[in-house]
Amino acid sequence: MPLPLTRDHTAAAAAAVRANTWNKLQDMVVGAAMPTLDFPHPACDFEIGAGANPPLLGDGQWTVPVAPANVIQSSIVLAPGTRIVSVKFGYNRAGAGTLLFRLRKRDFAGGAAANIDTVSVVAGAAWATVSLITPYVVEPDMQVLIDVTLDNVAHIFGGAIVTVDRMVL
Amino acid sequence: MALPTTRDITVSPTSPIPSALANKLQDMITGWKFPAMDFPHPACDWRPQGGGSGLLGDGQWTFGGLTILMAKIRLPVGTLISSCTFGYNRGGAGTIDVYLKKRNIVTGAAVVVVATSADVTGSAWETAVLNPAYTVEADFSVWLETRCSNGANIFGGAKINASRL
Repeated sequence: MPLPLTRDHTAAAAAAVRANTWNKLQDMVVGAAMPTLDFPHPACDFEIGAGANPPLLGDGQWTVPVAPANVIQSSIVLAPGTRIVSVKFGYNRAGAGTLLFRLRKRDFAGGAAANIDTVSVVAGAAWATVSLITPYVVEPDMQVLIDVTLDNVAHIFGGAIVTVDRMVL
Repeated sequence: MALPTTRDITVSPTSPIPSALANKLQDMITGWKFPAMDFPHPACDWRPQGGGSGLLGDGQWTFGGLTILMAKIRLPVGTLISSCTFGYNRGGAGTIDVYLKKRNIVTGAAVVVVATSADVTGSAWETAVLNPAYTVEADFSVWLETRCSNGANIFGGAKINASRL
């Protein structure tokens, strides 16, 4: 097996290093610093926000006993400098109401909150996905989160996938 | 100091690269890409499904009756989950089920149990280990779950051993 499972070859003492090994090492360092990675946010990763109508966590999905449901939120714990390129949400609108999906941030220092990207879904009656695709580089001193608003008892929400293409470890 | 804290040596512009340095870099890339790591899921990382009667105490859950607890797994797609270890005390009563589950959020298809086990005999603190050898798939949510059915049960949390991060 070659890199990255094992060494490509063992360079003998005093021997020249093979150019292809050296180039591969450079490529792998670049790949390690700039991977494209998908981070799942399962249903149980979401917290219920304030309000009188908490949604209900079931077996891998959220449902809405009483509408409109309190917003649910999931934190994005990625280091500053990491670039988020998309957030994909899985849901079923079931032919009713509006679902609102947001990528948001809040400044630790100043306390100000803002939307980074949002999308509303007002059509659809079957399981579907929708994605936020405005690239965002995580800023220092910033909380980043995704949230979901479900306003109809027919709604089901299954979770999200956050994709990054520049990872700061 | 040497790699990985600082450079082993600084290679001068026209010098050949020492073979020892090339070998060390290969070993580090291998270790970097494929570390086997334990990821703890402490008691406070779990949330009850559909309410339940669980009570989060000082690093453990206690129960008044059947309660399902779930803990997210946020490891990126491609990660190999080798084992999941759950710590609990059945207290000599009821059944403690543990699971690794997944669900495709794109299709919304039904939840799939990746691995599971049940304890109906224990009466002291112990662990249950699942060995799923499961690689996190694209578009899937993945989580841990436990079902505690008796007021004598105590649940302390879990850890995941994973590689290929």
